[in-house]
Formats: sequence, C-alpha cells, structure tokens
Amino acid sequence: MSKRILLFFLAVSFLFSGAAIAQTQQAAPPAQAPASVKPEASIPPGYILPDMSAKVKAAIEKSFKSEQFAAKTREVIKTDQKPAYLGIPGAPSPNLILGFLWAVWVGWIFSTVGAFGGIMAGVGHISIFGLGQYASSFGKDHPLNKLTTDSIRVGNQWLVGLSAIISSFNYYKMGRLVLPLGMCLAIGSVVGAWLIPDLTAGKINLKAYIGYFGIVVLAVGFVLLKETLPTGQAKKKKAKEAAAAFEKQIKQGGKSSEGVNIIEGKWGLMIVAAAAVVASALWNSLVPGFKWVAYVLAFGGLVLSFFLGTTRFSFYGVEFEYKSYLPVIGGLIISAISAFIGVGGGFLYVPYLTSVAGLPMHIVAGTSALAVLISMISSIFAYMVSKGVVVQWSFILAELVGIFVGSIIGPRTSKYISDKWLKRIFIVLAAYVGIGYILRGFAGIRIPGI
Amino acid sequence: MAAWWAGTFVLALWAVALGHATIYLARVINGSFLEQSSAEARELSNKSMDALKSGDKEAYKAINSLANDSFGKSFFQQVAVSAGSLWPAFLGAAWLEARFGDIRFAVPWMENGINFVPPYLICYIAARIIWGRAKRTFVTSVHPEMR
Repeated sequence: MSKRILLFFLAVSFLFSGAAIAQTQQAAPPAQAPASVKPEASIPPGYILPDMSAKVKAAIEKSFKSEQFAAKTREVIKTDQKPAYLGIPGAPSPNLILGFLWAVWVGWIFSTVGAFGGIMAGVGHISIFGLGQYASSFGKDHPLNKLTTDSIRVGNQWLVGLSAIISSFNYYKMGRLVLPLGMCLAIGSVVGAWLIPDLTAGKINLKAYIGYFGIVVLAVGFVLLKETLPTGQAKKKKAKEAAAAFEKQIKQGGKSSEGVNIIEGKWGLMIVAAAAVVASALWNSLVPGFKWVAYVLAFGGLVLSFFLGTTRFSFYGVEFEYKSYLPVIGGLIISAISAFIGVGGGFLYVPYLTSVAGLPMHIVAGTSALAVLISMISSIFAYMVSKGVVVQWSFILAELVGIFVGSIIGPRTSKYISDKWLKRIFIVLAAYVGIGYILRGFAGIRIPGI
Repeated sequence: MAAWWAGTFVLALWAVALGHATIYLARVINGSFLEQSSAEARELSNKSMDALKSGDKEAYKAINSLANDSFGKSFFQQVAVSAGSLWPAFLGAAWLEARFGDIRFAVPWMENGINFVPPYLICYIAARIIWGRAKRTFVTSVHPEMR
C-alpha cells in the first residue's frame, strides 16, 4: 500500500512541480521584458501591468513591434478596464459559477456516456467562457492570440492529467500490466507529447486549433454513430450471444499458469530507447539552447524501437505476440493528438490495444492508464515549463467540484434516458459542434452557439 | 517560518480530510451505482479470462469487446467521482496564492527562489501519507468494511 501511495504522490508531485517551476519562471524577471525596466517608448502606458506574467508582457511588447499587430492590440486591450484573464485589462473574466455549472454538465456526461466528457470540457474552454472569441479578436498570427490558445489547451490538459493520475492509481491496484507493452507505448507517447507542443506551441492560432478540435469531435461522433447503427448493434448482439453460449458450456481451463508471463522481449534495448526519449523530453524542458540534442535523442529512441523485434508473452496460458514498434507508433500518434488538441488519450489507447493488438481488457486497463499518465505529464511539463504557458488555478478548482457534482447526478438520471437515446443525443451534438468548429476554424463561418 | 510550515501542514491536512469526506459522501450517495458498473465490467472481464483459459478464442474476442464497452463506462464514472478527492487541494492552493502569493522562498541554486507551491505540495504529500497510515492503524484494522 505504501508503494502505491508513493507512486501516486510521485506522479502528483511531478505535475505540481511543473506548475511550480512554471510559476517561478513567470515570477522571475524575464530576459526580454524585465518587470522593473520600463517598456519601450513606443508602448503606450496601461498596456503592460506589473502583475502580468512575463509571457503576457513579452507577447504585448512583441505585438507593438509590428504596426498591424499594434493596431489590434490597441483595439482589443481596453486599458481603462480592470485586468481579468491572464491579467490583461478588459479581457473576459471567466465566471467561476459558469465554469462550475458547465463542469457539472461535463461530469454528468463522464458518468453517463463516457469519453465525450473530455470533449465537452474543451467546448467550455473555447466557446462557453468567452476565451476563444477573445483570442480570435486579436486576429491571425497575433502573439496574444497564440498565448491565449496555449492557455486554453493546457487548461484542458490539467483536467485530463489529474484524472489520469487518479485512474492510473486505481488501475495500478489491478496489478495487470504488460510492462514491455507499457514501455513501448511510453517510448512513443513521451516523444509525441513533447515534440508536438514544441513544434506547435505559440505557432497555432485559435482558429486553426478550433478547426482541428472540430475534426476530433466529428470523429468521436462518428464512432458513437457506428455503435448505434444496425451493423454496430448486430455486432454487439452477436458478442452477447457468444458470451451467453460460452457461459452455458463453461469449459474451465486445463491451463495452469495465470497472470502475465513474458516469454520474449529485448529488455536491454527497450530500456536504452526509453531512457533516450525521456532524456529528450527533459532536455527540451530544462536545458536552454542546443535544441538539436533533444531532437537527436528522440529520433534515436524511435529508431532503436524498430530493432526491438517481437515481444511475446503469455496470459492465462495463452500466448500473445506483437511487433514492438507497433505500440511505439500507436503511442506516438495518440499522444501527439492528445497533446495537440489538449484531450486525454485514454479513449484512443483502450480501443487501440483491444481492437488493433487484440489484447485482453484485463491487461489493457492498467497499461493504457499508465500511457495516458506518462503522455499527459510530459505534455503538461513541456507546455508549462519550457513554454511557460499560464493557467488559472481557481478555474480548475471550480471545474473539479462541478465534475464531481455532475458525476453524482449522472447515474441517478441515466435510468430515465436509455443508453441508445443518450448516444443519439450526443451524435447530434457532436455533429453540430464538430461541423461548427471546422467551419469556424477553416472557413471563418460561425454558426449559432459555436 | 516554523509557524508558516505548521500552518501550511494543517491546511494540507484539512484538504486531505475534506477530500476523503467528499469521496465518502459519494460512496454513501452513489455507492451502489458505482459498484454495479464496476461489477459488470469485472464480471465480463473475468468471463473473458475464462474463455481464454479454455482456449475458446472466438468467445474470448466477443466477451473482450463487451468488457471493453463496460469498462469504458465504469472508467469515466470513476474518473469523474475521483475529482472529489482533489478539489480541496486546489482550494488550499488558491487560498495560499491569495495570502502568500508574493512570498519567495530562497533556494540555493535558484536565483529567484520558489513560490508557495513546492512547500505546500510537500505538506500535502506528508498529510496524505500520515492520514493513510492513521486510517489503516486506527480504522480499517478494526473495521475492515470501512476501507
């Protein structure tokens, strides 16, 4: 038990320390825009305030270096108004009550439909709290647009990261991990989690981010739709029939060995590859300069994974095998999507491992939770430490309370709505939100409520 | 300084206690729902293991997919409920930020020191460990049903 506690708190402390270092960095006198030094003469008074973080100050200063951006900064920042979000005067002040109520809705979805809750949390951050519109009002490529977009993205990740810690801890208790599989997923996910934020943070505008987010929402809606279509229903029925048939003729096994037993796996090379990618993530977060070292380490780790060959293990006497580079690639792609959009990868890891790799649920649960945890920690660490992205703490608090309340209400109300109808409602919602975000992100067309 | 650490530790202990109370409340209110969904996932998962043991790959695949669906539902329910154990830690952090947000702690290799978050975190971890040990010693060893 004490080991579990230690594991849990090591993970929590890793997350918190990322935030702490990030806050320390914000508080430190920045190299580009020292708080004690007066801003450049071209910056009118009232735009840079002492309480702003270094990143916000730097973004405002940068905007005044271009005439086009400076005009937008003057237009959007209302110097006569009170500082609000990120300490910017006249910015929207995310309403804690609204945040709480929206989180109740998110918690309700989590406890009734599942993964769609994470997406709804993102919708709240983009549309409901007014942050998305505020970011867009600065216009394309404006430094403050990018800063606010990153902040929204990390806000999403904090919620997912905390959930991942708790669920990993819970599923660790199940004690059914295929360690080489977890390590291979982690090799890919660590690289995906730092590389994508590194390549896109500060470069993606809110409009583009919204567009990509819309694609993910549509994809989730499509999966839900597939489940409710006659073919999906028939598949489920068939599975139920097979389960019932098996139950009738329970043929308890003659195999004696239980649990996971690794038969074949290149441990040494796997550890070297994992060490290389972890070193790449740490180098990227903590060492200023010599960025190429991080890229070489990450690339080296990935190349090594192609020499890992086949891993074979037995579970309850039945043999399973997989090409070791497959979970590496899966982890890379899934964590890259998660980090880019700011959602958890849990809803992708589980079907990937059960459907693509054909592994039993018993094993998948723990292994995927571990992979989500690792990729979220790396991703938040990358954003907050190396990029110094700013997040509002009180807002996360309100959201956590809301999610909890929603999760209490969910199971009590779900008996009044059938599972099928719940899914149908969310398919319509996913289609509306997904198409709305794609139109807004890529075509600049806005539909009501989006 | 000692008083600050003592006060912060007490705050962390309150956060831990409040988190546990919230989870306890959730169990009282919704325990049967949570148990029902996790029992279903557990049952299907065990059944798939039985199929695997008997070498019936087809039945295993079918039951495994059902277990996957059931597990997904139970998983997100647990995640949402678990938010209840952490919210007081953020309440404590928000209060500390309002009260001691400007204070810096000198750390040898860091020019600007650190803010309240790392010391608060240390206190919170210590409080969780002490709380857990105390619960095991004084409560669950006497009343195992209260785990």
